[in-house]
Amino acid sequence: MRTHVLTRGVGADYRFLGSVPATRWWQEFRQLTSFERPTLLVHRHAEGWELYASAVPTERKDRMETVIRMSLVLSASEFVEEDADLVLALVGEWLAGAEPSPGRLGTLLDERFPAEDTEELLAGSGPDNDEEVAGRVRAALAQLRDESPADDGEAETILAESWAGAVTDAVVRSSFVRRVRSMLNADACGWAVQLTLAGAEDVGAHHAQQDEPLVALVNERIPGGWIELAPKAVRRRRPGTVVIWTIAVATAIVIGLITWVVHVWQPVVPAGSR
Amino acid sequence: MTAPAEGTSLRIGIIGPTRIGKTTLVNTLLRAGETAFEQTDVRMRWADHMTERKILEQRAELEGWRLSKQFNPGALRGTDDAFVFRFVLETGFGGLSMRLDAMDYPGGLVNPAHRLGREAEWEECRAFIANSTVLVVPADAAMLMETAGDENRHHLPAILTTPEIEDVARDWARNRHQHRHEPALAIVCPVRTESYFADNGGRRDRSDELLEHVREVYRDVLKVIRAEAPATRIHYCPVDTVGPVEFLSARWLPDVAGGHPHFSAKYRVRRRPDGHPPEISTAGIDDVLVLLARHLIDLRHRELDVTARHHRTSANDWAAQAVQDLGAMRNVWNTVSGKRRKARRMAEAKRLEAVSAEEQVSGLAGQLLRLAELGLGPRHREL
Repeated sequence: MRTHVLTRGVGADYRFLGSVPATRWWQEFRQLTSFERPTLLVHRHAEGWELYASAVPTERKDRMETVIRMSLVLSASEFVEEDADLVLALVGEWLAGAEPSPGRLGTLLDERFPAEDTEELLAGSGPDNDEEVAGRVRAALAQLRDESPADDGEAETILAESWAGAVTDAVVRSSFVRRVRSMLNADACGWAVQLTLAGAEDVGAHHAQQDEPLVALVNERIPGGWIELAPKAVRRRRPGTVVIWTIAVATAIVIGLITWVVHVWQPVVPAGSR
Repeated sequence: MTAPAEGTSLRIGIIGPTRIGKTTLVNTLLRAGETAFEQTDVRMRWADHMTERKILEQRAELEGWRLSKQFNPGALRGTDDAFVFRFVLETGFGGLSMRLDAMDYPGGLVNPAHRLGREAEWEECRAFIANSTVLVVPADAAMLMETAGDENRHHLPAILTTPEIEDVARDWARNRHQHRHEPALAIVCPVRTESYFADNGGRRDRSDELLEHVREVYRDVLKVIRAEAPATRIHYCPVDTVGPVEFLSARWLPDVAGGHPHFSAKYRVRRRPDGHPPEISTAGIDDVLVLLARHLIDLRHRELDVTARHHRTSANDWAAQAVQDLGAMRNVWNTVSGKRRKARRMAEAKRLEAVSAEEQVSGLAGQLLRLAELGLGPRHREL
């Protein structure tokens, strides 16, 4: 599991402690959420899965006395059961209550990233830090997993492929966690996102522009808890004028040829048969 | 014209370093837009849910300060990723409105040393700013004022990223110069100015001093705008984004990585005599709003004026065709074939379009006049 941690120091601005992720794929949702508030995005595609968990508050403060945040970017190209367990522990903790929150994760990360160590990692940020950063995050997630209650396994779940649900609804949240599990296991693909700004309608508009399945938790009351999102409309292209003309000309040529063969190339009739 | 075609937006480019108050400035602007211009029917409001919610998020934090009587400008979360605030400016005439976008982004991107791995993001922000019709430069008033005579003042250009701002301002100005038939507007906005004006609960008026510091520290930024786009109007609009707060003390914190030290200011909340929580009371933001509205309506007015002239010319051409004498045979043919009837119809349609555009031009001119009558506050200066 590749691990990237974004945070800042007292003076140093927000940057990754280790290497920088190859793409900032989470920006696809930047108009639909505040990354300065807890946001959770999981994406499953042909090459693997990736997760972005933003704005985990730390006990550290910057020079302006602002609480420093930490964001995690995790990804993997293969299924590893232990990694999936760690991610599910994070997602489960994040959505344990009606208001999405990193919960215990903040404290556990603080323990693994004390101020002095973090300043040092920031000062020398780069790929050399990757192993150490990943080890610390893994340790925090492992402790979170060990403290997490076991999944009841029997909860009601939403079966629709794409939907938007109220984050306050327990069934919606447990369905979201199940979708993430399926995505990690490669049984489902697409997006599972918890957003701070967008409502169901905004998510629907976003979904209409893309091809992948999407499940979204939104800060909005939704009658019944959730709504199904319509799949992207498939536009059937009408054949163009060129195609129609090509077919017409080809048909005419074929008919012409058949007529010519019938009238000009008369069959040879044996003389004795007349 | 950079005036928007149907479905597109005008842009406001904001350039400033991390934690300067870009988000707060946008927020204050929108809050003021809801109530300002009462005599004109001009309104500014959010254009989508996301902008509305983003603004409400920060407003809740401001309310929290007010109620807790604890003020700390840093208590507002910084910005992690770029976000486009989308507004609508209703011109107050004939349902005409204009879409307006302002991009907020992590100020750290301005500084090359802090944008490692985020170059593409910065290029997007830079392009947005360069293609904006208005440039806004927020400045930290406390940093400008409280470092005067301080041995660390020489760190200001690095902390305020004035050389980087100069580069972006140059791009913007060059772009504006290419559209020199349009008005160009730049606004320098000192923020957190509560302690330096006596018109919003403050005790001392040090506004002249602040203006001098802005001129001194942003000298090269102003110079480059004047050099590259001489027609640009550069306005100075100091803004109180909170109101009942007072600068208390400042200190320089060393940078652990050995870089430039960090300026840290402390504020106290002004008490109200009745002991009730203080009220958020902005000042100076109406000037920014009036300048923006005038500028944008002026752009739209010019665009419609061009359209109206085009329609009028077209109407006259068609009318001329309808009565043109081309000789007996062709005259008869044009009448029989319906060409003259078509020309008359087109002339009438274009005339109606011209009349409609002219009405809008005249309506917007009226709104511009009313906005001009509103005037600008005593804080405003033209630089």
